[in-house]
Amino acid sequence: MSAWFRIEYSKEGPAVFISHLDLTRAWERIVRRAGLPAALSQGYHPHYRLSFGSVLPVGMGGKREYLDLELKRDMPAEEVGAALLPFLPAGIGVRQVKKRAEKAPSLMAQIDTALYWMEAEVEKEPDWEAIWGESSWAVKRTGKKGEEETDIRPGVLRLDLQKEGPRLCGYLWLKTGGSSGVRPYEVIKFLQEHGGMVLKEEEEVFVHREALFITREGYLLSPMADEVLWPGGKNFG
Amino acid sequence: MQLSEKQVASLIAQVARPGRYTGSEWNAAVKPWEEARARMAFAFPDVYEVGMSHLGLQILYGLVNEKSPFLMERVFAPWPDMEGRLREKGLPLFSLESRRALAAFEVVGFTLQYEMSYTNVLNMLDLGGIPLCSRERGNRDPLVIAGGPGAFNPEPLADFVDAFVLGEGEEVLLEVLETVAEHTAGLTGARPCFKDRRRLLQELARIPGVYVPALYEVDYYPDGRVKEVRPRFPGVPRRVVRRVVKDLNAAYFPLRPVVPFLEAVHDRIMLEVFRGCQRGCRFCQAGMIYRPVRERSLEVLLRQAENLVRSTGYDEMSLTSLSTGDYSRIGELVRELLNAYREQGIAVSLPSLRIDTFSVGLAEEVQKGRKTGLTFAPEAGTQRLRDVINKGVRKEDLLAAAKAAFAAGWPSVKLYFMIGLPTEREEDLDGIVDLARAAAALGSEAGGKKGGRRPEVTVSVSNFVPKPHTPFQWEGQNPVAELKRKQEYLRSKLRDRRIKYDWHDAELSFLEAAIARGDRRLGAVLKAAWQKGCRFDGWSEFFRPQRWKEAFAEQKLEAEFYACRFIPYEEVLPWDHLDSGVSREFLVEEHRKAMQGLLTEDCRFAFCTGCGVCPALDVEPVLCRGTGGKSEGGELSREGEGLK
Repeated sequence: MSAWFRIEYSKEGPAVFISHLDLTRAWERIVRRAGLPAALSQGYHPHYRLSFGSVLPVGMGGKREYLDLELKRDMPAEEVGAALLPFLPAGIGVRQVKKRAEKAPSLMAQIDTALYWMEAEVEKEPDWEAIWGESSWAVKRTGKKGEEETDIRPGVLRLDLQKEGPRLCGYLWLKTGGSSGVRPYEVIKFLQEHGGMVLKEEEEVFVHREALFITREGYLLSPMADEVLWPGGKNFG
Repeated sequence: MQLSEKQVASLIAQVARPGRYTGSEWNAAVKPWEEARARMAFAFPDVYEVGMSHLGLQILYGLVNEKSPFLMERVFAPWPDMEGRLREKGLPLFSLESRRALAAFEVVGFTLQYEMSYTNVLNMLDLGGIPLCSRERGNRDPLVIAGGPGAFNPEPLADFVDAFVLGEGEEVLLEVLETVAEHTAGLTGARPCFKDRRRLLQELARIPGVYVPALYEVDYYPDGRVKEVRPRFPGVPRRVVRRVVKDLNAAYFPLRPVVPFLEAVHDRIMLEVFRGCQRGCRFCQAGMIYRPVRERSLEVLLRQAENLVRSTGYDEMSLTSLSTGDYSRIGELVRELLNAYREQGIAVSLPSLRIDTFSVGLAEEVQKGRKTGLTFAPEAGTQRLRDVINKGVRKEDLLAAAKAAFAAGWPSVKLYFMIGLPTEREEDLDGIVDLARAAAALGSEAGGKKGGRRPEVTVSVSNFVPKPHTPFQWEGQNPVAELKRKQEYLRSKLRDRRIKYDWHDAELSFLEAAIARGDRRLGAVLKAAWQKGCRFDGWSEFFRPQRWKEAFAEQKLEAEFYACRFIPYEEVLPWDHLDSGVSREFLVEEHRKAMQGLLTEDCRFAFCTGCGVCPALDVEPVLCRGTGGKSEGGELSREGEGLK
């Protein structure tokens, strides 16, 4: 009997520059090296049945990323994890493996919220009062029809940024995927262009994805767990 | 100098495909810098995806890091966007593993796979913080070495490279590194520290297979021909003889190759079934300088395949060699591999096949799912010209193979030809057209029957480039205008919905020939071309022939002199002091036979051809004829007879 497993992994350090396509291939190779009995897809070019969650931009690390994997036969989740560990390239880590229901919506369809850590040296902090006062945050986004103005405000759930010495750092809670998804760099750009934030010269903003969530009935769930991990999601916005 | 993680991240954050510069791939070596007796950077003068497809890199990288007290890291030519970042930030070109500047290594070793990558060699030295010219380097600069097929006429790079290695690197490299270690005064500090660079070079020249160009004087006649190449000091060998691995079964082979994250050009397991090719095509340098054929045994190959599948996780395995269909037990090997790995979804591919129905059958066996295309290389359009180049293929063989391919359901067949070959006439061009049309007609027949997609024939035409150490080394290349005229002629004749026609840039082939047959004076041209901005010349988007023209003109040299001239047998060639093992007499004889249209057979199927390799290098062909494998044994002898 085939079985689906959900893997929570990290992609950090030297692995942050691996593109999503390359990461897909890398995971196929990890699974093959681990000798796991992966199920093959039908068709001309049979490949492993791997299904990923939200795509990380090239250059950004992720602490809790997700993928689903189908094996030809059932086995304890801990064994899957143990089999993978010796075959992970530098920068890829397996944090947890759990069995997933046979039939489940894809990770891509479910994950809708992301938590980012950002830090940067700034010369001037954003004018928070002014920004939060604005009902619409317009950012230019390149779409199919060229450059368009998009309001990212509905996708920004919460910004927990604090000044620590010369650094501005903290968490960004953003909607991800779909039309309401917001990219962290869009928020940073908005803070610079409309919020009066000024970065130190030649400073590059560091952004790291800390976690991904599935919203259910207003609560944020980890894709690994059924229980509520971060109650209070309802109050965002 | 060692770059920090932060510096690297900031450098590559804005370049295309940053994965080219990050390293840390699966199986990449992490060897402690301080503990190694000598440190070498393997420098590939092309972009990462190309370099990581090169088996030689994987072999030497594994050998040095697994089997020796030395250390090897990798560096590739930075794409122009990355070069821009490095220059803008004032940072040096660095190795993938420890992110050290090239100047920090005791040895920087280039592989010379292609003439048009030589400007990248210069660029990498410059970006790496190493003085460009050999004579400008001192005890605190790396030793710059180079190997690969380009080392068989290394004269254009003689100003920039301290020592060349002739032949198979796994035979020689550890001896070179040992000598380097012995001449190193200290291993601390950010740069190498040699006791006496001159002594080191003289010592290296004593290693068989190592050529130190600075120890030789070249005299020229006033008209530019080489008069003499002679050692400048006693004890320097007159001729440098190529090194060769005698027993491939016993030789080191990397069982834990680096698996790139980026998709390399050849992104699969490379199982090397044999080295060398004795078919004896007279234009082919690889067919001369890698002799004799040395096959690995079936048992060794199956064991290596098993190890490689486990250690890499690749889903495809390519059986590599110069002519894989010639492996003595190819049928058995393919079937054993398919049986062992099909279940796991691992495909087997055969990159080089002979032109016969047996090969089409093999190709069909390994085909996984959708058939894309099958490639054959008849090389010339008429039997007369195929005899001249010693390509033992008959029209019937080709058409039978094409027919079998279409019948088996391949939607397209690709045919490789070369124009500008010695003795070529208009009828030979018409022969290309006739073959293409005949193949297309077979395709239409087969396609008509099945009612599927209309089969297609692709005709891919390259230009003859005379290569050193081949029977055609004395032949001139057609002038660019003539090549273009021939290309245009073919284009006009191949206007056919069923035929796709593509051709190579004639200006590029012209420069390839000029550098391939170049002498030491071309060093100044290379330098000038590089200074004018030439990089990645083999990439059409970066190739600027005008810059090369200016570079030649400034140095008062003519590319035509090198590329297009017919050279008499008596003339001293710039590479005459470098010995591939194939005798000059054999090359002359082969050239004469070519002019008479006479064939020379592969010595596996007939008598010794007297090429001279076996006695000169104390080797012999190694074939793994088994007890089984009846079918392919039969095929081989049948084809052997067909050649007579």
